[in-house]
Amino acid sequence: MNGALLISESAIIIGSIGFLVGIVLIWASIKFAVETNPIVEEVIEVLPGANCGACGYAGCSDFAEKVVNEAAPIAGCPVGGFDVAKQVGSKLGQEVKEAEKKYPKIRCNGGVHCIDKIDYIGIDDCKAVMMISDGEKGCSYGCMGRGTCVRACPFGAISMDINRLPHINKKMCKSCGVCVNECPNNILVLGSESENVNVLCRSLDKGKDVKAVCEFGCIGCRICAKNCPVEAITVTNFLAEIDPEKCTHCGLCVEKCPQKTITTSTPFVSSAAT
Amino acid sequence: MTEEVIEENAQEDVQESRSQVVIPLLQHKGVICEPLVSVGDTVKIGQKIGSFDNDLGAPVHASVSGEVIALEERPHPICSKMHSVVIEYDGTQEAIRFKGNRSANKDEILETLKESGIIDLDGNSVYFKLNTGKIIDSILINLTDAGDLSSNFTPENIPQIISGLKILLKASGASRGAFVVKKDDGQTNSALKGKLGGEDDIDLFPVKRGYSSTMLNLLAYEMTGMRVSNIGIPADVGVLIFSAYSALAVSEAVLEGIPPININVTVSGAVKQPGVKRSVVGTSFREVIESCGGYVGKPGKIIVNDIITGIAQFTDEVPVTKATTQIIVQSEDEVLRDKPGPCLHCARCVDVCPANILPGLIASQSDIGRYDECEKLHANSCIECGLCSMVCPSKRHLLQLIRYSKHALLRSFMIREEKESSNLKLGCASCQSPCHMGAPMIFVEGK
Repeated sequence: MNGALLISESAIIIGSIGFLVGIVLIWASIKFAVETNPIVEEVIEVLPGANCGACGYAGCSDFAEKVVNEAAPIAGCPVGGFDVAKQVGSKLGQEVKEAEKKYPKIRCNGGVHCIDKIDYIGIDDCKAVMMISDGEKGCSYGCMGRGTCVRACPFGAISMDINRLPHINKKMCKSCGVCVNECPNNILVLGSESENVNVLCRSLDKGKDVKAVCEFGCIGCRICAKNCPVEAITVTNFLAEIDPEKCTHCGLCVEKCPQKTITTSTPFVSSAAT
Repeated sequence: MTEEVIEENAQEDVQESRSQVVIPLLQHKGVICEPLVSVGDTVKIGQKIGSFDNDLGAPVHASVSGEVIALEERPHPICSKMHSVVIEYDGTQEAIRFKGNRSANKDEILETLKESGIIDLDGNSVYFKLNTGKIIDSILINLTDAGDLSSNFTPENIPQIISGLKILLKASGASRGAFVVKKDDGQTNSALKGKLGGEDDIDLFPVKRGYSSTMLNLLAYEMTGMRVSNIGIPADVGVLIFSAYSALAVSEAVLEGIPPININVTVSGAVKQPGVKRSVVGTSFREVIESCGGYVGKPGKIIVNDIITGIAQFTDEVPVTKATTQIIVQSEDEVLRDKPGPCLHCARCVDVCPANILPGLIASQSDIGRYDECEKLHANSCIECGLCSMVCPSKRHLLQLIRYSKHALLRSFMIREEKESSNLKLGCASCQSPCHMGAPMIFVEGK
């Protein structure tokens, strides 16, 4: 047997085996084909593809599958924001309206103006302080300023200001709500930007107790409720609450509040609405 | 108990300066009592003012006679703030008639203990500890806790403690009782040996080290050779362990009918006349310390119950509760304010740990948020004795970090929704019984 025959023989054998296996594979791919939704593939292409998990699902493909099955909201991707939601909506044939962006609001204005109850020595973390004696502040509802939210924010949008209160950088905030869940004292809450008149306190203590420990705490004096022209403010358990649907942003409560608890982030619509 | 008024000639040390007492409605690990009195009512000494119709509740009793002036939240030595009954002392010594029963049978003893609401120093009520439904072989009285010893173990009290142990034996059906004493504590050893001459079923067990009220599982292992898991109680291996205070209070409640309203408190540290004070439940720490001559200099820290495992108080207005044995005052320059440094891997914490875990490693994993690793390293076996933090040359907050990881694990079991990407295995669901993590079962709405 010479060398040329050996080479051609082996080439024929291997080539025929390859041909047979190829036919089997083609048959198998037709027979056992997994039906994939083409829309899911299209949605995955639109998504950012970072697999960050900020939406609450295992990754972008999981989120896409859930969106197509209507198990997840179309605007569920906090990283992509409105642009991505619009594209996902166009793939699914639905129109997406731009939702108002929500930011965490800090419902405490105490900070350095609220006295310390204990002289804390230990781990520098709000949750660790909270395990001891309801926190270190005189007000057991107040912000302790140890920065658990700063470390929790995945986008670096929170920093501590000079009053030892968290400050939210609205450009960097993605409204993911991680800080709201992490805060052990429930200070932070997600609220839209148009609700710009806020009560910066959540203390349910009596007015006398609040005044003894905090300069800016709500004492439940009801002056805001009496002055509100549209009756948007209710005071329960020594704490004022503003109904954002009724509020007309007139700013009377902000002017009248003796403790400066009620504040506004933007200028008033009309400063002298009566 | 009938409501007939008799004069009681009790002589308390801390009574002259007292004008009002604050009696918290929660003094143990369990549920908050519901108040049985309202503002304006007149109460007598020993009258029940709060109870809960459940085995997890422990009733509380008025410790002075007078008028209820408020039902509100007041400072509490353990829970920061707690619903309390405030009674203004009216100067009389009106008391309800205390009726003892010297020949009580088992059911009567259990009923009396349930009504009297005696709290053991580990926070559980004595009735709850006895009423486990498990077979009990022996009952131990732990005489190795320094605070308990100094407050309640005096030569005059020994016969009462022995009779208390006998009542507990009768109530639990156990055959043997024993006193656990430190080997090198010659004073207690000799005092007990003289009194135990004629007792056949009561022994004296010397042990090497001291066991505080959080280390009872380890004491059960030392005594029986059987390990108790960190979610178990000594009753799992047939042993019940009580403090000297419990034995004393049990004998007082069953033989004389007096609920625990007078407590022996040792005051030590930076006070002018340190010593043991008999004070009524609800007296504020300030009044107890004033009866000891007041502070020396400016107080830096007030610690209740134990110098290592005790809880520092944020005010001296907190009241003496049924489970208070010791008040320690540190002056301002005694308080440690060291900044923690990096771990030196010297393993002193490993050498000293009575639970045989690796405190330094768990603490560093807890510091970087790897609570799953903490669980693998058996963070839940930590008995929170605080020895690791005490010996650490780098002053790291080891106990607090371990406690933090335990808290985080507990939160992951209880609060967090199950997520696909979670790296923690979820599903503890053992919260039917009082929490094995030591968290008090308090449910306050709105927080």
